[in-house]
Amino acid sequence: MADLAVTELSKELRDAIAGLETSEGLENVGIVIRVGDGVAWVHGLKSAGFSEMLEIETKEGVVEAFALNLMEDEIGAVLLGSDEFVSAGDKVRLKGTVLEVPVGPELLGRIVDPLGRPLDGGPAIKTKQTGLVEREAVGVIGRKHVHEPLMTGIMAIDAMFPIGRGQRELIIGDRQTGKTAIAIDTMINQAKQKTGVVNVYVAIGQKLSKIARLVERLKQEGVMEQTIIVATGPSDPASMLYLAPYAATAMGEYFRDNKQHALMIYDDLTKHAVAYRQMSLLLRRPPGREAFPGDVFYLHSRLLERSAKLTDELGAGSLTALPIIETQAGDISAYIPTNVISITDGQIFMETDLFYQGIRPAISAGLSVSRVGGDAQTKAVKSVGSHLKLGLSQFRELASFAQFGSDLDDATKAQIDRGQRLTELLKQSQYQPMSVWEQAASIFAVNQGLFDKVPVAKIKDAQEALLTKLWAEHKDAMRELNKGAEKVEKDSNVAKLIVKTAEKAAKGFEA
Amino acid sequence: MALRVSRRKLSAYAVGRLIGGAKKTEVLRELAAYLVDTRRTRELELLVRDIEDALAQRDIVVANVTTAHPLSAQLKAEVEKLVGGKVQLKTTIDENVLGGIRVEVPGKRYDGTIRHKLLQLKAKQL
Repeated sequence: MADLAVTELSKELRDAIAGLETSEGLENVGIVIRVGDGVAWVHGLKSAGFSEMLEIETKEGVVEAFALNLMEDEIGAVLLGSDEFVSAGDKVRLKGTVLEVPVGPELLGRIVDPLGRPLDGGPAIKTKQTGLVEREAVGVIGRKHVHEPLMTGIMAIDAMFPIGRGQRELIIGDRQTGKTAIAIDTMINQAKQKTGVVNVYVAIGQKLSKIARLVERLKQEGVMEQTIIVATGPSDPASMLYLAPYAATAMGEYFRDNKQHALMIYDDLTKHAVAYRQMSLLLRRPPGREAFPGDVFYLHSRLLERSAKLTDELGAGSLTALPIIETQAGDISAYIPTNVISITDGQIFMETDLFYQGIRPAISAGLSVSRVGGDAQTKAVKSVGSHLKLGLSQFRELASFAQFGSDLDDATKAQIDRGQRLTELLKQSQYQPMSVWEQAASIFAVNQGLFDKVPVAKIKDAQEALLTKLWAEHKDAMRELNKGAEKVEKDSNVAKLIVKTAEKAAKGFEA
Repeated sequence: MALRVSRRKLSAYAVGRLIGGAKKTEVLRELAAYLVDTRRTRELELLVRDIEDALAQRDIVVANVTTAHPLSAQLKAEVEKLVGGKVQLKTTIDENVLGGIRVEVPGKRYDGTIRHKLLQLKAKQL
């Protein structure tokens, strides 16, 4: 054994690897055992990894699938296309990669499916980069606390439940209560205020007519150039609905990681959970509560955890998420709503009753909350809106109590009067987001009692008159206020301007 | 009924017996009886594939070779050398492949047929 040199084993092994003949053209193959309902069961492919891409060779071309169930004798794979042409005995190739989608600025203004293929009839999308659909969220060290505002342009939200960049704020409510409207207004506001925030709207199983209407509106408002729409319809396979939010998040993450800011809107995660339930049941995973699989919490938590505000070292980009959840008859204690409420940093609860009373947006002051947005609120809005939530909740309580009797003391009466005017003020029509100075000036005027003599029905008119006058006469001061850096306090110059103008504006509407 | 035995375990058992020197007919009869008894005759083809997989692990490889024309003895020898181990060739003549050769061993495939190359070209153009 004297001549056995073992000092250079590492190098020799490396050389041996380099010297190996590559088995080019040698593929791992298996066969389809059975197929149906968008799920194929595959024999062979022992080296397949979880969530790895497979290619099924059918008579009509290749159908892609991804492996989700790895079992002793077979693999359960979910098809990304139609199962019409896939039949038992078809050969299945292992692609050796996990799912990736094109990412980059080239996607802006486009409507794509979850695999990044255009749906808008435009040219093929060629991006320089691709992003992993399933990606690990940023760690603790890479994150910074949420401190920059993401203005929605909706007074009730910006004043009472402020949202910061990197936050995850749930929009929850029954059908037809204006959930999507809030999301659209927020997208429009990003363009109107030129915040540079990129919008990524994910339609999960939404009616295609609704998506078409949305796109039309976004184009009209000039928002489409900074928006990516990832669309799936009700007729798409459940696998596409399942992938849509993850793929879209990969597209949003590109902007987050490149020092920019992106806003994700997941419309809606209820349908996403239902699509995942369908897939899981077809893959024969055991059902749990409401027949959802055991990992339905992880399904949404790993998605929303990817929203983050990054540290300055990582470029200080951010990814904000506005997931939407639809409840049945206002039941927020159902399975999926409670899950997502506990994952997110707060929720905006939409109430059917308010909606039909004409209070739109129908935001419930009592049940909504923003857990981290306080630091992110602009000083201007914060200084006028700090007592709004409490005042409004107290008013709603008093108002329902006051229905029983008419003899009220003056203090209560005054509180109710103020509450009615505030409620009226917070009404806002769709597609009309308001800027910081508009919000601050309006709320300040009502809070200071400057509109107390204006009848409730005319509050909106008085507000408009005030804002027009302020803009016409004190443009520079309003521009300064719009930066949001300074508080609106009783004796400040801005406050004096607002008081003076509001008194004049109110005159025309007093009864 | 006893616990469901996976095909992987069944095939490992069968191959173990075969290599241990048991008679092929005897092993197959046991498997047949088991499949019928547990009403799993539908899995017959899959079990065969699993047994082929298990045999390949022990270096007894079944290779399916598909060509457009009959293989010459020299080519056969080369294929056997390429696959390695104790190879047993199953040759198929299929004019649809147009030319070239396709070799399929358990779990792996080398497709060098003209048909495959044409299909790949077509897929690239789409």
